[in-house]
Amino acid sequence: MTDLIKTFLDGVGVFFICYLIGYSSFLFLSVVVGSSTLYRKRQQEKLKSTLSGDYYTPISVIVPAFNEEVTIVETVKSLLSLEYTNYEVIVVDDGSTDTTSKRLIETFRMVEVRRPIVRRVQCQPEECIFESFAAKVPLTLIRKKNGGKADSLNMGINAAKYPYFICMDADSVLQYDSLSKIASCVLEDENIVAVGGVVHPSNGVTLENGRVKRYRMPSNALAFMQVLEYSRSFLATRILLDKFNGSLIISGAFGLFKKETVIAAGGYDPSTIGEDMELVVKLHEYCVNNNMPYRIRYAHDAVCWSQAPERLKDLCRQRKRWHIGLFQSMWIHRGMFANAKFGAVSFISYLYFLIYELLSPFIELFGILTMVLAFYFDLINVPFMIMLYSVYAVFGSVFTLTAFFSRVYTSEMRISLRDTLFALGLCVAEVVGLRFILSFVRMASLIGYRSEKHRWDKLERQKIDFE
Amino acid sequence: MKVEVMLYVYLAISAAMIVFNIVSAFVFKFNDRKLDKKSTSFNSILGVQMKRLKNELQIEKKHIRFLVKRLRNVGDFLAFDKALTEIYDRDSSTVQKYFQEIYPALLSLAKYYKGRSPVKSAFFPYIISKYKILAVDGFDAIMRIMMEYLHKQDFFCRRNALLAIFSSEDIDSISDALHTVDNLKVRYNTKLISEGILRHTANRNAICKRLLAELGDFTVDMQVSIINLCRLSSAEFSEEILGLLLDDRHDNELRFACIRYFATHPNPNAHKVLLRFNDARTAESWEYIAVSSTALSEYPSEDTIESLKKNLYSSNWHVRHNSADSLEKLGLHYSDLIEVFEGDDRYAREIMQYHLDARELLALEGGAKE
Repeated sequence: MTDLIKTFLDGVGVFFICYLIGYSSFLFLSVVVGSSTLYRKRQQEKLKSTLSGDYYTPISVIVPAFNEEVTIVETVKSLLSLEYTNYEVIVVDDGSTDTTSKRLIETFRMVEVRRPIVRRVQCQPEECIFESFAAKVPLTLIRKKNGGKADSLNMGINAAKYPYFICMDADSVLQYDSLSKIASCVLEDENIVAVGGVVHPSNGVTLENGRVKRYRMPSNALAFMQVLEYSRSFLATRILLDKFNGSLIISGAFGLFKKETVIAAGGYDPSTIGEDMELVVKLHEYCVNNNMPYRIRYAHDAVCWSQAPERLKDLCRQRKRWHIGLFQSMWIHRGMFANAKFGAVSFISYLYFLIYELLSPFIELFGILTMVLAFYFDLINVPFMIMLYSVYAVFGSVFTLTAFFSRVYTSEMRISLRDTLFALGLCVAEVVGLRFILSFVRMASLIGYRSEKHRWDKLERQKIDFE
Repeated sequence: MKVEVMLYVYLAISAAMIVFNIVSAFVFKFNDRKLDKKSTSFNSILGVQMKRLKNELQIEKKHIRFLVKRLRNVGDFLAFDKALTEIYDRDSSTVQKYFQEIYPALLSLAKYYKGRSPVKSAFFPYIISKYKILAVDGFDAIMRIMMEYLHKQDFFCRRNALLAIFSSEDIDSISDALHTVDNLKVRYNTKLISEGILRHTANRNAICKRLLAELGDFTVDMQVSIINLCRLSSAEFSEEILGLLLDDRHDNELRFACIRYFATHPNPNAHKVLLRFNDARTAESWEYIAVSSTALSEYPSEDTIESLKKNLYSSNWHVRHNSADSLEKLGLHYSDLIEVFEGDDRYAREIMQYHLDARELLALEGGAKE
């Protein structure tokens, strides 16, 4: 019996060695590629190797909203102050039960119009449409029957006048130059069907007309840890995946899409929770299956500021939904798994998300259970285990800090010594504490996930800090 | 223990990256200060040479040697640019004279930067376009090198070289550059070509004339860029563009661009052609109808109104939308569209109602509609 267990544990050991080598190599490569890309980008900006924002591609900005009375007016105000000329703003109120629509109508002197909207992608019917004729750019409010975020985005696509659209969250703020930065990718390469922007937590940041007036780290430790986590995710992993057209996620908080391609692919899927990821994976599948030359890019200089949850309960709820969304997207498009037709998207991106994102909580749990088993049979070297875990924790922390500092210095932001010291401490807490809590949440998320359908990711909103 | 060693290696590399980041942050900070300092130094050096030029003296030979040596460092080149910008804002004609005098240095630098990394390489054509250096006679050798820059892999390098050539205003060179770009089979966004020429040249009509004469030698994408350039430049190409529009052997995209030309520059001879497109009823023709419906908003007549009204009932909603928009722009009122409002087609009624309402509200508020 003991021999059998020993053989089993040896096998487990080999599996985890391979698993960790794969993970740490991927993370290491991400940081190296991410940092060097950011360094090169800064050099490019200095040496004028960038497109100036004076070539305006028409863009429709779609803001799906559900019970967003606290933030919606400020969000729209910030959108109207963007330094871009050729765009429109479409707010889709998904049957809010609060005063979201009322606040918009009053603030922007919107009037009801009888505008017919052709449904090129399926969505719930509109109840009423308002437009503002006093704003700098066309502003439309569509109030519709509740159908979820994906459904609202589909309505926005149907109402969009321009060939490209941007999806964003109602509690987010686009930086003043974000539209020109994200649109310049389209000018560089006409095969682009989608571009993801970078999302930074806005907690602690003071913005004025879409410009950062004061940059401070959040005073809330949980939000601070998310700043570190976002740096790692947006400025390392996504840059690496972008190198081989392998991005599988464009954040729902800020992404640009080619309207006709999205419509041809069927638009957002209202039956999924992670509609943002599902659409990107669907675009890969659609373009490859139709032999279309295509490119999905990541614009790491197009910035959107979004509120990170400051309560653990909210964060857990958010991550639970993200994980269900990941599962649904990967399941719906499971045909991409180990499929040579999709090349690196299948063998690197899909595989990475499958093993190190979707299955990782289960693999980690399996690891813990085998450790208990090994301990019970006295087959574990405890000092070595502690040492290995410590190395892992330090490695993870160093990796996070590298991504964080790369972002800070290439964005020409300044952080105080106090914030730097906090970052050093909290990155360890994030790696050894928060990550495990979220791992557990992600693992538990798939239990009874079907009841989550159509629900909005509602967090406690705070007014955005405008001056 | 092999796993442990590997993790230590990763740890060491990551720690090295942290050090790299900290050092980089300091270097960036230091470079910014250094740039200011260097720029001040260049300012006084250039001041001396500008004074010589104003006194009808030549630039010193040693200054040219100094430039060849120093400007190979891209950081120094940035400082040089910063200092020169201040002088250029005050006295552009002396700076132009200065560039003529330092021609040997520029030629040497053009060759040098061609072989540098893409980011550094793109900076040289940027300088050439910024100061419109090629707009003055006598820079043929540099122009030839700019043509070579067009073959570089890097998008920004090619684009900066293209802008440098556009800024020369030399029709032959611009034509050659567009042929080169076209032959490289690199797809450029049409905006980058048409608006690039538009912003960097004054002699647009002559350029358009030349490019129209050579239109058949270009690919469709470039042809569309050229027609767009004509549209943004002048109404004087109506004859040639009408000819292109009438020739159905041409690609649809080119002919759509021609229709858009006549939306910007209304021409009585184009009116009938647009009406003919607008009245076509084949399944393939919807794009022509949609584009011509928009263009017809600039051609007020009974025929136009009748044609647009008919298209309010089209099976294609793009056509319906554009027709309603044009009918509104033609200034029609509810009373002129009674048959639409009393008709059975709900979409036609609603889209027309929407456009007329929007016009009234827009007039009241004075904001933006599209």
